[in-house]
Amino acid sequence: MKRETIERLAIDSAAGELNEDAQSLFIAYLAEHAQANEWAQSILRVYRQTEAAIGAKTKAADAGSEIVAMRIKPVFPGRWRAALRWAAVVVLAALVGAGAGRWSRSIAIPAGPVELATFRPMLAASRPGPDMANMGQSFWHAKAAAMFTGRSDREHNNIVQAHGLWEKYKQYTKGNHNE
Amino acid sequence: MAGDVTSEFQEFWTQTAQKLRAYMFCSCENWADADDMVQDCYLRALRGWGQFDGKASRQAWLYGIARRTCIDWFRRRKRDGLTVRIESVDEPSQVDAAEPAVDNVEKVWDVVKSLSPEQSQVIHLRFAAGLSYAQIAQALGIPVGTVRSRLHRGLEGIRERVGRWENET
Repeated sequence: MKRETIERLAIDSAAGELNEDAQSLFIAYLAEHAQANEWAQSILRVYRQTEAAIGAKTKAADAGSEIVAMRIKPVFPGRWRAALRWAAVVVLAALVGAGAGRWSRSIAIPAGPVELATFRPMLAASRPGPDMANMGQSFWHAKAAAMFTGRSDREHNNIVQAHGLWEKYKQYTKGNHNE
Repeated sequence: MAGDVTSEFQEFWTQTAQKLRAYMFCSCENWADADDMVQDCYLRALRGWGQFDGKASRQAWLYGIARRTCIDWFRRRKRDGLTVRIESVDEPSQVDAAEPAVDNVEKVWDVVKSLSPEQSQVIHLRFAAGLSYAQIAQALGIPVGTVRSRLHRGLEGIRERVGRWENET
């Protein structure tokens, strides 16, 4: 037999891959052929060396079985974890957006100016406005007066201010005249 | 039914965990990574437990999953730009006086790593996982004859390189 065949049979024999008959025949053959026996021993030595080296390097696997047992638990794989994180960010952003939208709608000024422009003259006509002279010049008085007369705050404030000044001017000229 | 699967899987795990851990260590040379891969492998096995067709042995089926787990792990490592080979500093193996000298163990270990991936895979499945030729063939999806020749060529390569190293020293 060729060297390669002998070596292969020797490996199979060491690995327990030969049946009983083949095993006994192979042993008998090696006993009769010194050269074949030498080839077989050569590869068997490497086989045992490799087996021992891998066995020595992986010996710690026996000690670690408890750790492995504890670590077996259902967890999401990395890519699913990343996808879930992104989904959470998107949902959070959507919730924040929806909340902000609802809030801004609740405080928005209704499209009232058009209605006010049409109804206020009627209100002003049906209900006489307050006495401008007695309104004073406070901010809220000016605002309330503007609401009743249908004029803008600033416009009405100017009127109130002007009225006050006119009164002051009249009093001043009257005083001068008396003097 | 669920209880049966759980107990069946638990028993399977008890029988195979140590060898699988040793095989995974051969692939990544780091116990922490090996444990992660073992966990990933068993999770995959648990998910596919019901889909096992029974054509191969359960053990061969598990090592088929283990092989894919290793491939995915190496791809992920490569994608993340991490070093693939990490020297093991934790849990050093304790070598008895009766076992081969440490130098020889390290040399043979290094030589096995330097073999082609196909040859070293067969050697790891044989010596670390303790699979038979038929189981290795089922796990790798190759004929038994190919397993035999890869093992032989691998051992030849080890003999040649270790012999060269012994002559040099």
